[in-house]
Amino acid sequence: MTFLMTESTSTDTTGHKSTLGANVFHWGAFEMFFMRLGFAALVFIAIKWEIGSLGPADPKKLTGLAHFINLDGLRNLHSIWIWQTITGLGLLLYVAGILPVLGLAPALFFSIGVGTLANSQGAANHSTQLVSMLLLGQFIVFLLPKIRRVPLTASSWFQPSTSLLQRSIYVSLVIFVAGYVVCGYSKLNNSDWQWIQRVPNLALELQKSNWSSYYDTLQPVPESLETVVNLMTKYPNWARVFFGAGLFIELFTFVALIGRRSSFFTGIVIIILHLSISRLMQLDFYYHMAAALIFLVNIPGIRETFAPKKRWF
Amino acid sequence: MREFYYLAQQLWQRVPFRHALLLVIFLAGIKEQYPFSDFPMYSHLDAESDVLYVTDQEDNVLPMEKLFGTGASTQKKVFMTELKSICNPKKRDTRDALPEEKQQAGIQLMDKLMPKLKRDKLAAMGATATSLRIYYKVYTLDAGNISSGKSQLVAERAL
Repeated sequence: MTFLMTESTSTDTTGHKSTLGANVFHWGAFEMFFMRLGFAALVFIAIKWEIGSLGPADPKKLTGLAHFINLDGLRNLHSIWIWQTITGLGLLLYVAGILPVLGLAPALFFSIGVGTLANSQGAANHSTQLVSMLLLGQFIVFLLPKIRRVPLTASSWFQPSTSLLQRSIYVSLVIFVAGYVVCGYSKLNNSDWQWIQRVPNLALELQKSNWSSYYDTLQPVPESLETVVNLMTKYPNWARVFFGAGLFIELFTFVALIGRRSSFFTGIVIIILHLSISRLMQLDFYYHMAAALIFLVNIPGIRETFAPKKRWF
Repeated sequence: MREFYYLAQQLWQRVPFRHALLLVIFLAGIKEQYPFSDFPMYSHLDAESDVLYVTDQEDNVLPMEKLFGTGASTQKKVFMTELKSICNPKKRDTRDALPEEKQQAGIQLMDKLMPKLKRDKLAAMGATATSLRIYYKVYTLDAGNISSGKSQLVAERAL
């Protein structure tokens, strides 16, 4: 368990006493290893390997790189198992903390390439963006390994220091948090800041998502749907309080950056939020929950998170 | 100039949650450009919502995800994209789309959907489908009650 006690070497050399940054979290080698392991598995699973089932990009609905590169060729890739093997081996390198920039490259290519093509079909889905952004963020950290006053050497790329590994985790946390905060902001902005007032209309979305789920699978719509929809329309103010809490959670996800314990509790709250959404709307955000579990809840680091010497926030 | 840079840097260092703040501004600005997104799910909350589904020639509902490997929700978005491209040049809202415009969008959706049809899955279901239909249905909230309009047939294609 000595790994748990490994301290960060990323001391703020400016002497500035910021409560922000990777040096607040003091992630040890042991817990970071499990974070990389969990994230590698998540990345591999989140890539839509059934590339052949995708249609060509719709010129009316191009997104990201598809504006500049024709990604339709990805659909013709044969022997997917070869690409899966290359990606898997690369992710193993990343997990081992050896040449992570090279190790992450195939996963980054498929995650963003296939994700972009899938989202250029005329409809945007939001299940894999977070994973792709986390992957891109970590890739950039390992590609540009310069740490203040520490000279660059070949080992900066070959076997990144603990400080750099901690930075990659911290960047993941920042990306995760920003994704949720911007989601909350979009709700306010796109509704002309009337999202709370419009919450009763969410009953329609519940109706829609549950029936869409039925049309996908022919599994009966939950009996509770009618009850929930009726409650929402009969007691709109209670609905505003309940769903407003969800908006509040999104907007305040940034508190996860304060320290290990706030990160842990934010992760738990986010997972509960998603489980509630799954139950109510038949919308499963498994990848988001997994990312929260890996980077925020950080089960292997729980002992360190709740060690008596730690401040609560 | 150097002093100004130093001062700006000092100020920037004191902005709480500065990295996350910067990224939030970036994501809110760039919107939907994969992998970046402003995650606008359920942000508009209009007083109507809509679904789309597939049936056989006798209007028996078929499981879309199983048959096409893509969901009804995703394909409804594709349908709306097509409908917007028909209505927007005429400066009209898709909610005011004419039945024939919806059918035009439905045909375009059917063109995209049919190559994805898993005929083996359809056969395995024991379905006796000789053609597939796409229906579009709108739910509205009026005085606290949800009502659904009649489903509109927007496309039909023989197998």
